[in-house]
Amino acid sequence: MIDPVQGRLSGRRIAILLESGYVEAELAYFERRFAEEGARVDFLSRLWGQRSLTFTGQDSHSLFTVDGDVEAVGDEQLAGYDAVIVPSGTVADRLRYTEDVDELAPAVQLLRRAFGMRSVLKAIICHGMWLVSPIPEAVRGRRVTCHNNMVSDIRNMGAHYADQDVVVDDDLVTARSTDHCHLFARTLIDLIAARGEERPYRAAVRTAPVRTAPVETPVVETVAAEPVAPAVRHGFTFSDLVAGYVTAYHPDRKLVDLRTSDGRAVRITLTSTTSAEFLRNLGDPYLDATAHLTGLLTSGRLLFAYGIHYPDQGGFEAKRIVFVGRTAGEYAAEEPDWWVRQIGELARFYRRAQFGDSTPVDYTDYRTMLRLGGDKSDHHVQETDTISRLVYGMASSYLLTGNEDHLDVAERGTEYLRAHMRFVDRDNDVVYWYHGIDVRGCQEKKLFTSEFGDDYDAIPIYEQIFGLVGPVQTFRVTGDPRIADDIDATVRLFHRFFRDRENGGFFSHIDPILLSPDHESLGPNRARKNWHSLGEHAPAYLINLLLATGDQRHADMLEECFDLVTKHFPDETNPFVRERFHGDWTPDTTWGWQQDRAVVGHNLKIAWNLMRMNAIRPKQSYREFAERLGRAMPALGADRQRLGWYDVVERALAEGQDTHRFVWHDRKAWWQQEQAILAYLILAANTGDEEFLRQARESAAFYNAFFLDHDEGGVYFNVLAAGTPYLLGNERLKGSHSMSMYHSAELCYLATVYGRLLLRGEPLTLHFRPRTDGFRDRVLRVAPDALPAGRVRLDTVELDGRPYAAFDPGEMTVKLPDSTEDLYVRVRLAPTDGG
Amino acid sequence: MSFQAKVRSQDGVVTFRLAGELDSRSAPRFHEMITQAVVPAARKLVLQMDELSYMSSAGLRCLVYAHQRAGNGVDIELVGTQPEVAETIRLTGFDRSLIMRAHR
Repeated sequence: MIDPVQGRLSGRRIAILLESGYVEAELAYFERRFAEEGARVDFLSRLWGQRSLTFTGQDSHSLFTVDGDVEAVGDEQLAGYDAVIVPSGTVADRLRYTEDVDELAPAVQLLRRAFGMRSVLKAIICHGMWLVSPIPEAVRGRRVTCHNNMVSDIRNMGAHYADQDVVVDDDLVTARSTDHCHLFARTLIDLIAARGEERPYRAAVRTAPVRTAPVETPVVETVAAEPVAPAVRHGFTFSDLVAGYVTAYHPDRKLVDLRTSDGRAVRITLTSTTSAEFLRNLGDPYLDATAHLTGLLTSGRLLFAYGIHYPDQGGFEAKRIVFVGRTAGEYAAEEPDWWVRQIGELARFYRRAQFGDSTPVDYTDYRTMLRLGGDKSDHHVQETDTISRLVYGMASSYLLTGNEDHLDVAERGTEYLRAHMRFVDRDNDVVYWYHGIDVRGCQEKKLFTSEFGDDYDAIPIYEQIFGLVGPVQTFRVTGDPRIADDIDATVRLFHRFFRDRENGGFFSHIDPILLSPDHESLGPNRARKNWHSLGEHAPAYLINLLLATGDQRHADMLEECFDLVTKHFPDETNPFVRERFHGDWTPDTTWGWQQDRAVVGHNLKIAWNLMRMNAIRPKQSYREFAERLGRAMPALGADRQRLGWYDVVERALAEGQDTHRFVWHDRKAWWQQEQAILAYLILAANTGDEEFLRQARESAAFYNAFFLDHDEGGVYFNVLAAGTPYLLGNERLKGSHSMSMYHSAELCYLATVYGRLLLRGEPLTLHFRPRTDGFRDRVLRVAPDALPAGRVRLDTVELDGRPYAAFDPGEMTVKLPDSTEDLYVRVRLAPTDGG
Repeated sequence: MSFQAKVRSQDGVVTFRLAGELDSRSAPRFHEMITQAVVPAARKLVLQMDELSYMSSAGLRCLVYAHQRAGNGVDIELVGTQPEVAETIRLTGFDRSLIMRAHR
């Protein structure tokens, strides 16, 4: 072992495989050259059970003793190497000796494992390629060079021979012969230095950090030293997106240097046809920035650049640039009424798509399925959940905008649900909601059990929960006692039939005849629990119900659910939460599509709802778990190159992996973006942590840049990783079972509440419409969300357009007068001075 | 009076004659009968209800479930339903999906 000194490779580690027949001059060069740069060099061989072995060189028979055993190198140690070198001479040939010809030699096994780790450079020179011959798949299709004598060997392995002294193919570096060992070493040193920040195992295996935080200075040198882009290696063009903060602009060469969200340097080239625009909201016209492009490339500004990677010069030429704000440090989504305008536009889209211009709206026209442009198909189903989600969106729009038409749509939707989707069970004194109705014929056909594969032939709690989402939000506005009765009866359903009295929590499904969670007809859903059955009550209806009623029984139920979440969802061995359970809370890793997989958005949704729960009944366990998830998720579920959040990933890493594998694709779904934006807004609002705020801004920037459908209205279901809308199959729809108007509207509503009141210290106006019989105690509760105590107060109240004094600023309640007319209450909430 | 059901099938018309009390204990038996009777060939389901004095929500769930699983366009006709039972059905909104007749 050679002691490191300070240098470009200070703290880095290199392994050299060794055996007899090494080239003395080359070995001596490597030993000195890497040490000179500060790297630590380990020599490894097969020691045959000995503590060390001494080998002889091929030219002057010099001796060299090795004490590192290839058979003792574990994955963590291997991953800790920046490079594994197979040197010249007959070293490789000797190392591939194996007593059992059907087994790979230990050194070959080590090399194969190293090929499975992209972060470890495989560096092979001269006749070193012999060691690859038992594992030709490692180099098949890759560009390599080698000794002239070995060219046909590497072609037989399926590699492409390149007539060069040194060839870099991603993580594989090869050199022609021992005479080129100095070029080989030079290339390795440059690559290792440039790859430094990409190495995920770095922190785990090093004792001393060797990298400083990225700085906002020009990064020309780092960029120049970066490993070649994939297009260069493979010789084809491809388009992609990059997001980053401008660190430098070089007008003479039309180059822009960016720093990505995770601190990497990226360089983009501007062309004569590069267009630029400002992020715009739904309903806004295109805002061109091309004419001012050069003046806008100031340091610190976040932008998206979509462009093309070229193979010839390794450059990335930007074609479309989107600026997320008018100036550096400004974010469009932080304009005071950004989300308010957006919810108004969303409501307008869905109102027109479902009901046209007819006033009042007629829900017999409603269809769950809407095409991209909002037109209907020949699908004649009205799903309870989608009407309920639409109602939620409309009621939320009324809260923020006071648009009476939107409230009317919400109220009529609630009435329609009551008349067509509700099963009043007198025997059990509960209410449940049909999955939906088929309105094809003259008589509607009730769809009692779920029609979806995950829940087929059962009553899933998920659908019952989301049956309440719209009615409860409407109840917040009007206090309609009929809605209150249905809500209470549905909550009784949860407690009587879904509840697990023995082990706590709620089961995910009951059978349709006996209403039992343990009926054999439930199959894989028999006696199971999941995130939905336990955690979805809170965001969908229960927190809103507590806000509207102040009834502490709802707080009790929330507390019980979140205590169970904090008890059973964390996994000591994995940063992602557990999502599915058997009745006794043992984890279920075999269910359907979920297996042992993580839905990124569920992790984020748990984080923001734990923070809301913490505001209702503060507990250290809620806050700690939420913050832990918030800090872990960007590295696991976010796209650090392009921004935005991924969908479903494998929870476990297989050997040699450091990236959680995407289960189906690397697309990004609109609702998962919502979870990230709200998670980081709410975490930032509660903690004041700048890093959380940055994540919130970046997440909101990606969503607003790529999910808003400026042509047809509404938001896209999915976009490709690089932000292009994905418009195939069900994902082209605007009104599928999950889409409707819930997530997009919830985002607008809560982003407004937290952004205005807690993050930017701006007042917030909300609108209410209590019915004459609304709110049995005639108390209107106007707290906009479960906010931390004392941060917000009720500032002023107007009743039917006139100032009104009967309110409690701290409790945020308004004492309603008796009235023969429905009332209109407009309230202004403001951050407290201390907040 | 305990629950009794007789089923007869002819030309795609499945006729049930129900009597007594269809409560939560007898519902599983009715569920089994009706899901077996509603085969793909069934066009219409007729329930003679005049001797049925009580229908629990569990019994009604069997009926709603069978209707959902029947093919599209399969009508359910209830004949001679007693007022108390009719009210139970009305509360579930299922009356919108049925044909109710006083007599055959």
